Amino acid sequence: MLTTGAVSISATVAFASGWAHDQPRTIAFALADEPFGERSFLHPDGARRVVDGLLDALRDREGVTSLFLEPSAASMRVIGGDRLRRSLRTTVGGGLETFEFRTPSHLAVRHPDPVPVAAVRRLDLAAAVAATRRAWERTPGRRVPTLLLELRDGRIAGWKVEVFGDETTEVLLDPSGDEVDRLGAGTPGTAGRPGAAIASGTAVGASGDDHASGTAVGVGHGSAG
Amino acid sequence: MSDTTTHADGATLDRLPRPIARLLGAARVTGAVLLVATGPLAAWGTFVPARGMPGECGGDAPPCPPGSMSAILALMVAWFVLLPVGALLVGRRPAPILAGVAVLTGGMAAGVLASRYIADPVTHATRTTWWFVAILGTASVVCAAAAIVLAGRGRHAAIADDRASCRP
Repeated sequence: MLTTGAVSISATVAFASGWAHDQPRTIAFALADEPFGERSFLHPDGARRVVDGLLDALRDREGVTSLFLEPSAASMRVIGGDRLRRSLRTTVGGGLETFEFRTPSHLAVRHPDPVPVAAVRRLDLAAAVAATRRAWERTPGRRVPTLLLELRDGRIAGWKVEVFGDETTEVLLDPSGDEVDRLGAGTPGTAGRPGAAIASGTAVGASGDDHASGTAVGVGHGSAG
Repeated sequence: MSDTTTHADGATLDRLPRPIARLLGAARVTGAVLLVATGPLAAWGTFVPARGMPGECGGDAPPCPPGSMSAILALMVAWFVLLPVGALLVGRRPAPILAGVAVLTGGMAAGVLASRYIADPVTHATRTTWWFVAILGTASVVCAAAAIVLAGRGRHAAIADDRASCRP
């Protein structure tokens, strides 16, 4: 009886451990504990995988207008040949949500010109992720690191790293992932929420009136051109 | 353990009408199976809650974490169905019942331990875990030791007991 009990308990525990591996709570804790760990979208491999996955989900003639990465989620906005905009979002738990904006973009306010899929595929994500990690490591009270692709006139201008913590660290990178400028450390007002960063990032790509993107765009052009 | 049962059965079965003896033997085996089954159920029943349970969930409150309903149910069934029914079926024998208790508490301890140290972690807090595992693990080991000792010593007593209780 005792032996049988021990064997069956071991089997249950082994099964339960496998089951627990993919539970939302497990994933959430792993990401909070190690935002750059193997399951994170800010791990070099994870970033490559998720970006390629999002690009694979695009339709013909669609171009990228925004790309945003955080440890647990990645989102991308695209404009199609019919000027119809879509938003794609995927999380570490798996699954892809897409949202279609019903209004064609000529009725909407401002839109950046899309960047071709091939250009996004060529990006050196590992370098950008490494820079994000360095920014994260020097942020006091660090919590969530985020990485936003800056676009301008249908070209990739660079990256904007934001790390939220007791202070918010902002770092601007050129498209190859080299650090261009550090901004906004200790000025939470300029940073805003991750969601706002997406929204403003999209709008800013077209207008260029935000000082942060303005800087990125200026330098980004220099090294990209 | 199974040796004991065979010996005791052998002694008893000779002196009972065959159908009743067969029934009694089947009941003992079923009881032992039920007692053993408390182990995996208890392990599952502590493994899932050890990964964090909200104070209130379900109904109007936010939904319960996945698996938690089955875990609570498993623990309830192990304690309040399998253990008493199994104990009744094996008859008045302390050894298999103690073994059942050992398996049940061992399962609970193993569930908590695995939840925190074998599976991917959900927290860094460890103190409660160790208390839980220490208390239940000790109980399990003590019960298991007692069951082994009693199984060895109680062989003759069990036979005598059977004779006394089963003879018409």
